[in-house]
Amino acid sequence: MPYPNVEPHLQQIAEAAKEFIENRFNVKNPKIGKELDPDIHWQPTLHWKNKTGFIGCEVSGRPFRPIVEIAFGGITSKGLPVTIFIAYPSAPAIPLKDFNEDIEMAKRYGIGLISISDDLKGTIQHRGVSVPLFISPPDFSKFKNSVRPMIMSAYEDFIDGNPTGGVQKLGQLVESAMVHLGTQARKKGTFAKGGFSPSKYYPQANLIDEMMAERIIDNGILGRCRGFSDDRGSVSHSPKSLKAAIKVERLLKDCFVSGLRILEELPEAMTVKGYKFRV
Amino acid sequence: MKEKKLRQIPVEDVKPNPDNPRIIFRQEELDGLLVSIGNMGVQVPISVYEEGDKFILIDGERRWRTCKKLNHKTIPAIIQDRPTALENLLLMFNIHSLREQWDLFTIANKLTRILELLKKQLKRDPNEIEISAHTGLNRGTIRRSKLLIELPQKYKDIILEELHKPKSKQKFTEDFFIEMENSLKTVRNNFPNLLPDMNSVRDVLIDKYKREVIGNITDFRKLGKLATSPKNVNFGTDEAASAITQVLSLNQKGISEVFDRTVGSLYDEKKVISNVESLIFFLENLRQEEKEDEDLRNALLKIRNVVDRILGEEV
Repeated sequence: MPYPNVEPHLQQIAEAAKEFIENRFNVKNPKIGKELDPDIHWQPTLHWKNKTGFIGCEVSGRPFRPIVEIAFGGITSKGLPVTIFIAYPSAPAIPLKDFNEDIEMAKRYGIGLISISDDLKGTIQHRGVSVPLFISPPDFSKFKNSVRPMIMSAYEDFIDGNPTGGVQKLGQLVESAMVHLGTQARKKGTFAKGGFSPSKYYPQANLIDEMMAERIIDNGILGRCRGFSDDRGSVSHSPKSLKAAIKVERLLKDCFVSGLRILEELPEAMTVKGYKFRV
Repeated sequence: MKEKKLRQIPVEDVKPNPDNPRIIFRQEELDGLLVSIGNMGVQVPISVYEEGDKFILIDGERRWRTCKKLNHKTIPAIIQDRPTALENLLLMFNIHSLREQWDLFTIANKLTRILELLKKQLKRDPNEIEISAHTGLNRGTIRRSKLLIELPQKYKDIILEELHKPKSKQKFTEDFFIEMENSLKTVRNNFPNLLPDMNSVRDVLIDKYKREVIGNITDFRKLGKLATSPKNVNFGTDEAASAITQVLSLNQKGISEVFDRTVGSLYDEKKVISNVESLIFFLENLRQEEKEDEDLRNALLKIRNVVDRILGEEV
């Protein structure tokens, strides 16, 4: 059988998944049942390597398997940019409750899901994210009502294959909060210097630097906003090598985590200084 | 025999045993092992013999496959002498029949070869006791396996095809064929004229099961009861033959339906009489202190009331 360690009835699923991934992600010549990396305890059913990372696909009778959980740990500690997909038959061969629990489990790990129909057509059910980028769902109740839906949407984007989009959404919130803070401070007269004007575009980095100079709110959090603003700019470029991809992914994750922390702490830091948190 | 050696050997140098009767390795079975080996490593060494620069598995294909999946580089192995063909098969049967559940077809598939090799060694056909002693299989399993061995190839192919599906989607299982063959054997013993062509009868029954005219594989037991009904419940031989013919013909008549319409009540009556006789035997042998037991007396009063009512109605 062409796919070792794959049950006979799943051989066709494996073949369909191979074609689907090759077309969708423009990759070719997969390795079949071979190691991804000597330190990773997983030989995926199929995997592809390109300049900036790996795609690993586990073909399974159900949407989650323990091997993926084992692989996840190893890939995370090694920091390899691997996007994992599980390809499975769309018609559940297990009780529906277990099937749905498997899907939730895969999503919880940021694993991509490809269902293969009886006529061997693939559909992405969840795009998944490169393993080192994975972040557990934050406690959304910690965020203000006004930003919670946008943060939830940013998180969804981040773990569903669009991490840059997720970071940009958080970036827009932080940027908007900074402009509102600057505006309120100008009105109060506590922010007297610098060239910021609420009605005109003003570079975010300059605005934060000027607010820091006048200690508008706690400089610790403003410093994090400044760092976030810089990092956000550097992750928007596509990496050209595996090494660069590892670096960018680390930065993206740090940036997203930092954005979440800012949006959790900023309202309190503004309130204590008499400003209203607005975005 | 040389001394057995325990060594860590490269996973990549291990090859599956071509004589392993096991055909299918199911993911769910491997997943349990995967978690255990992932957490604890391989606790029980596999058994192999050397062939050139490779190692052939005698025992532990699931552990080896799991290690491969987990990308382990080495695996602990006991290196044994190369066994003879018969030793090789019997080793695997003994190991597996004691430890894990094989598909019956898996056993049946290799049992033929074992029977040939045993025949060669004993210079006669081995009996069931000898086969059981050599393989570690119980006699019931041997008999069920033989039913599968004797099936024409096209039905074996159906079973093999089904085995390739997940358990929940298998329809024409080994159990289906065993139940069907047992019932047809009973029909053949009692009404040989009704089965001139076994394969066409099998095809009809398979078709009826596929169309769910036969709803359950245990219905085949009722076909056996139909065939023995003239002996067991004094049902007319011609009527029984006619009922069986209906079951074995391509139509919409299921086994249960025909059974209930013809001999169902006779078998119910037989069962009741048998139970009553058992009860009478039990009551006649009660000790004095048992006769005075209140719960028992209450139960007997209930029976008396029911019996009086039934017999009273008849009077």
